[in-house]
Amino acid sequence: MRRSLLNSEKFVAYTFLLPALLFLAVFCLYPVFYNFIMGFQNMDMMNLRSGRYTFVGFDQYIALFLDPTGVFPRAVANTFTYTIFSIIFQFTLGFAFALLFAKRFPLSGFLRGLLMLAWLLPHTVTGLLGKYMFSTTGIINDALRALGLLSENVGWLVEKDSALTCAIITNIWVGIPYNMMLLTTGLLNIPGDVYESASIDGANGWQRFSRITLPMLKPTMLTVVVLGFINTFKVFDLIYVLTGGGPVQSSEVLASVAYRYSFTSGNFSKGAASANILFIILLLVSIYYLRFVKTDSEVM
Amino acid sequence: MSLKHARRWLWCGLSLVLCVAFLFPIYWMFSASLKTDTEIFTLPATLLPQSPSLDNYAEIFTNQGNVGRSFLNSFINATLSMAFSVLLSIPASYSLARFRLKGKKPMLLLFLVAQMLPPTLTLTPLFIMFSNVKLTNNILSVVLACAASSVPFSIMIMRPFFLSVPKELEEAAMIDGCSRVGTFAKIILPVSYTGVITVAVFAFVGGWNNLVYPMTFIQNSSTWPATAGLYAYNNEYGLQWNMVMTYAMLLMVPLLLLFIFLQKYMVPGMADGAVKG
Repeated sequence: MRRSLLNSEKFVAYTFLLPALLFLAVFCLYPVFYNFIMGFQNMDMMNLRSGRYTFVGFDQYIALFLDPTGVFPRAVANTFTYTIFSIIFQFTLGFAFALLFAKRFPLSGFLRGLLMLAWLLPHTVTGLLGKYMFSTTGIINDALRALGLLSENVGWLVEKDSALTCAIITNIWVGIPYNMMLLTTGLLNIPGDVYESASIDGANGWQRFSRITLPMLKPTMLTVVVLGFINTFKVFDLIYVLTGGGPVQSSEVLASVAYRYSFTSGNFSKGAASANILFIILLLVSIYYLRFVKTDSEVM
Repeated sequence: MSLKHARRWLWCGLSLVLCVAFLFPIYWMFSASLKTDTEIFTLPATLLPQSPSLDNYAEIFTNQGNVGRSFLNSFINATLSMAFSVLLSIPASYSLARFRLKGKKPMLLLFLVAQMLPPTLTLTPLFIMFSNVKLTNNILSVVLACAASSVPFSIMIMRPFFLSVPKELEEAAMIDGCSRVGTFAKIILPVSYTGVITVAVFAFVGGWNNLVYPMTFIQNSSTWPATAGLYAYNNEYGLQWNMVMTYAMLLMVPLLLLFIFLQKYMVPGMADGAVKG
């Protein structure tokens, strides 16, 4: 009896799957649903225990955009700025690194691996390292003065105009190795004999790059950009540690604003509404990505 | 031929320079951790520590706060959330790779979407849920939240590994009288061990690096893992960069070790998970 149960395909299939499904239903799916509902209520730290919160329709969403400080629209704009600039530079620099590291030379694998450290570091550490280096008395001021580009030290992180840029630069540093690694893998997957026969046919370096490398790498490039978008758009730790969203909320992003509404002001529903907007944007990008993956490979 | 040889060394030299420049911030963190209180305030900063010493590393454990405790908590959190994700995701991904299941496509879609959920989205509901069952201020709340964010990713990484195991291998074992579960444990798992290591490493690193869950769920500083501990430490001793960077270095050490020994499992796993969704 026991033997036959262990052999039954259906039994094994579902016992293997159910624990993970149940776990995700409780700790992923239900919270997402809960958050969705919360966005239409007026739940806060005060009325949470008493249960005296009600449905308010789209009031929270409207309030977000009408906030007199304008912090929410600014956070939306910052999140896009942060994501788009991060990706442009991570991708182009990561691509340049990948072209170099896809070549065969001594130590190439080791050095490529070493670069990954920047990506692996906890964002708490990266954020503090950035805070140290960008500080008024930090090495970046020293370096810029030594180069004669600066006459007086600048508090890069406490200036409204530069705080977000510092976060973008820090994030580019984190993202370069990730882009490099995925693109190197893509480059190494292009069969060498394609290049060989092109050379025999008299193609020069640039022609081989533009006619072979770029077209054959296109699926990898698209994946890297979309995944980069998804990972960058939900940034929280790095901003929270590096600038704290400041000064005067000038570097606030969607995730940090959602956190602040929920856990600094105790306005859970407003935080939920902000997080839902973040989620909807990510979902739209993911749907686009899925359609691309589906037509491009056998993932499903 | 010798031209080709020379070119290889040129590339090697070029990438060495590139690596040194790129990893300078990590050197800078290390060098700060070796500096004394007086030297850290010297302007302009000294590129090489004048009298490098490891005193800060000894001091940080004795002097302030719960630094030692915070690393123990980090290990507990990372190890437990790794255990949760491996135990849940390995069987599930095998099931999704091998069996005909009802609703397989929507399930895969669900994992794919769950993989990209921003932590801020589930943070408040999880906080409310955990406080309802008195689990806040308990490291288990962080463990569960971290596992929830790594399980979907682990399943998506692991499934291709199982898909690539030839079906004949299982069929042969079952003809020899092995049960399905036995086949899985004795035949399939051993040949897909690289995938299991990949998943385990990523789950460990995910737990180790996480800041937002402990910061939100745990008020009690002696229950904080090292990420939350470091963040609070910086708020308190912000200008003592030598000490803050010492704490940060310690947080990097386990990752460095993992990377040195398990790099070959991490890199392909990362590319696989990303490209295959």
